[in-house]
Amino acid sequence: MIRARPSRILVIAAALAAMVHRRACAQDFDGPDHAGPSVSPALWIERGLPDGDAGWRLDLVGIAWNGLEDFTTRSLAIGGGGGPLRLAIGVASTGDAEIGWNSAAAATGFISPRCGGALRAIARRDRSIPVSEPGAGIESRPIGIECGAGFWSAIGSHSRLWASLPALYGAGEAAPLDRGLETGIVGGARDVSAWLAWSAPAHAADQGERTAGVEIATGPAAIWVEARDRPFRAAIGVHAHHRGFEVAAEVTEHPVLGETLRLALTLERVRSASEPER
Amino acid sequence: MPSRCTALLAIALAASAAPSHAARDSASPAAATGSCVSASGVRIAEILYDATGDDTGREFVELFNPTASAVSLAGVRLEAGDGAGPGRWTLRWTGGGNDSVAASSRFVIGGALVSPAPNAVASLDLQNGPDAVRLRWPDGSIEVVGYGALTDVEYFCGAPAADVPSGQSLAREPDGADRGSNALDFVVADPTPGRPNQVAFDAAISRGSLAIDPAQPAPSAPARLSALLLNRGTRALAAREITLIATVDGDSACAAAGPPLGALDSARVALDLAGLDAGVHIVGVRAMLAGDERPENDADSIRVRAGSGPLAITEIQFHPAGGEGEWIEVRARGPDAVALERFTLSDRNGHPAALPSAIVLAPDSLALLAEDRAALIAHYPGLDSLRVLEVSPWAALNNSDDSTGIADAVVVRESDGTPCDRVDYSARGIAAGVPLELGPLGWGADSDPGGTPLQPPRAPPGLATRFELAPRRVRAGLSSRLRWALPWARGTLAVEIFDLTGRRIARLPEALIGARGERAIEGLPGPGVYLLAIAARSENGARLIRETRTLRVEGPAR
Repeated sequence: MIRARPSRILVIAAALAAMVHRRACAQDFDGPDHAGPSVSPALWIERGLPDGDAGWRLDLVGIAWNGLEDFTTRSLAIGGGGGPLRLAIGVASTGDAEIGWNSAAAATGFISPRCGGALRAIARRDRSIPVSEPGAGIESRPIGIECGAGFWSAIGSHSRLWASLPALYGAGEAAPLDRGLETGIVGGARDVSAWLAWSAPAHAADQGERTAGVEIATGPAAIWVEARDRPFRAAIGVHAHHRGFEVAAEVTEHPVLGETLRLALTLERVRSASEPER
Repeated sequence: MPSRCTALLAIALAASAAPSHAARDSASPAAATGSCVSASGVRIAEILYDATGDDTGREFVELFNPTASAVSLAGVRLEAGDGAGPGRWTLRWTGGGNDSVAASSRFVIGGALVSPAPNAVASLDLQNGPDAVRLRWPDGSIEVVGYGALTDVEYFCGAPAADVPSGQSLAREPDGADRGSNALDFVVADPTPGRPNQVAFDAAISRGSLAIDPAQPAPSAPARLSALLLNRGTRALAAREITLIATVDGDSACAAAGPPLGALDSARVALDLAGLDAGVHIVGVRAMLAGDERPENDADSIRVRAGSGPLAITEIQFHPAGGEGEWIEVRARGPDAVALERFTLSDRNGHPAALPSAIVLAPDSLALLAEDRAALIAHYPGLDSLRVLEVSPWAALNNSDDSTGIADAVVVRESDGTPCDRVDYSARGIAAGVPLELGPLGWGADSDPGGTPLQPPRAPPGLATRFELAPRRVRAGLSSRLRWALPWARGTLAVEIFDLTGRRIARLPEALIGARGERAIEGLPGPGVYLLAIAARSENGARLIRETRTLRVEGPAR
């Protein structure tokens, strides 16, 4: 008889819930990192998948979407915690004054050696009142909120399974960025890891996508490559840290739209596992 | 003035390819038709039934006696047949007691204006084809020669000969030919009353075969002059025996050696002219052959215009959708007023129709040439009706392209045939009812889908960039509009829509577009930020412009 571990049951339950509510919206706090759990507080907010040791980190992230001058994202997030608890807060701004919006968000969760997860919430407010609909009765900048969650669980000693559902609930103005449920698995040994992920369609015109990637780490630096389909896109990223300072960059090549560039600067104060908590 | 030919192309054709000979090979003798020769051996050798200008006094019938003894024509009846119905023969001449044809000689029966003077003067009053001529001999034998599309077998022998153009005669070649069919024995030829139809040395330029490409070259631009070169003699001609000379306004422009030609062979030859000065020129080709026995058929010429003519075509409605009939807008180009009566209008294949005489267009002013003037004025009530002219017969314009990608042509010529303006248009991608218009970038769909008759092209709204998306922020269910301003007259536009992660959401159908235009962007799945990847390609595919625009669709959270 096979006995399922409670953490795996939670992952499966989250995935099933996502199948019922497949629509998800995020990306205000996207950053240069591969799919799955992350040590970045910005990505805790983005995916609800916290990882890493106790301590704190400050992320400054900039994204140039497909080289468009009128559409970039800038975000700041700070997060950390002690013991199993984790907390992150952040602000972001996307797009120009005509179509852009500002965001404020928070995520809180836990981490254990075998699992982790977080709830996340975000509020967005447009940077201007829509001018395209005179007489529509819109007299203030539209506001929208969304809440979601993510969860991951270790499988064996070298792999993890995750599910991320950033928008279980939404109200007000719809989030401007769409993304479906993402589930995936990451595994590896020593300095090499690889992952596979699946994103469910966000709407009828979306076919979803599949992701595969591999990362090689050496000392304080790592490099990863990642591929997505529909249409085929490839990304390459690097990050390196030194004495509490980390830089990361990722370039995604699109066959039609061109390149998307993600850059991040991180300040960190992280306690190693042997360092006693105060 | 160009001083030399830059190239000579000579493509030898089989003898059967020459127009005047084509009918001979395709026609075979047939039974139960009129007889081809008389018992006397004398036969009809040449007929001129459609002289240039007024036929009166210029028509003739030439008889040839190939035998070694003289033949009396006393009692011989020359009759003209009307091919419109059976049994319609009318006597034109009867041989007298003193009329005879000497051995190996000719006898011409013709009008008083025939030169040299005919042996017998008679008013023949021959009809243009399809008709016939016959000789009735006192012994009862009959020789009949029919021409044109005859159906009644009494009017021809074997098969009727070709109908000839005005100024040309039907000539038996060789003079003694008897192949059992008018179509085989007779060819189109220059009139030679009283002289042999075929000589040993005769190089000729087929009348009407001269053409220049392009038909209206730009000033100083190269142009190719081509013509059908004929060896009308019985002797084969070696390469370089003929010298071809191109002339411009009577001056020799260039010369080149002709190709080898067998007896009765023909070849299409081309000479490349380096360029012509702006204006109207008489451009010709002369075939020079030492000992040529018929110099009168050695040359032909055409009127050619280099550069723009005084009347320009500016707008074409070839597929009206509102009952207004087809119409064409023209503009007086240049510093002088233009009298429209000097011009003709035609389509690609039609006969030119003269323009009405009442209008003189002031410089740079517009006029409308209409298929149905009343309907056009009713459709556009604000038109200045004094500048709307009905042209009759109207050359109906085609609405769809042929295999060459051309639907039809609108051709304006001066009354003497000099080209003035010509537009070969394609209907591809032009929505029904939308006229074609000459804009700053060339011909394309009209700046106003309803047309701008008697108005210049409507200035499109200025765009700061090649593509403009407005508004960039719309509520779900509404549409935004994509406008463009491209540096070419026609092309294609493709739009792919992606979400911000780069996933393809939609692909709008590729559309044929003009230089300026707009289309709706709609059918997006719901709220979100979308990236529009826009690709515009020129009609020949050589140039491509790609740009991306951002569109935000708003709506309540679901």
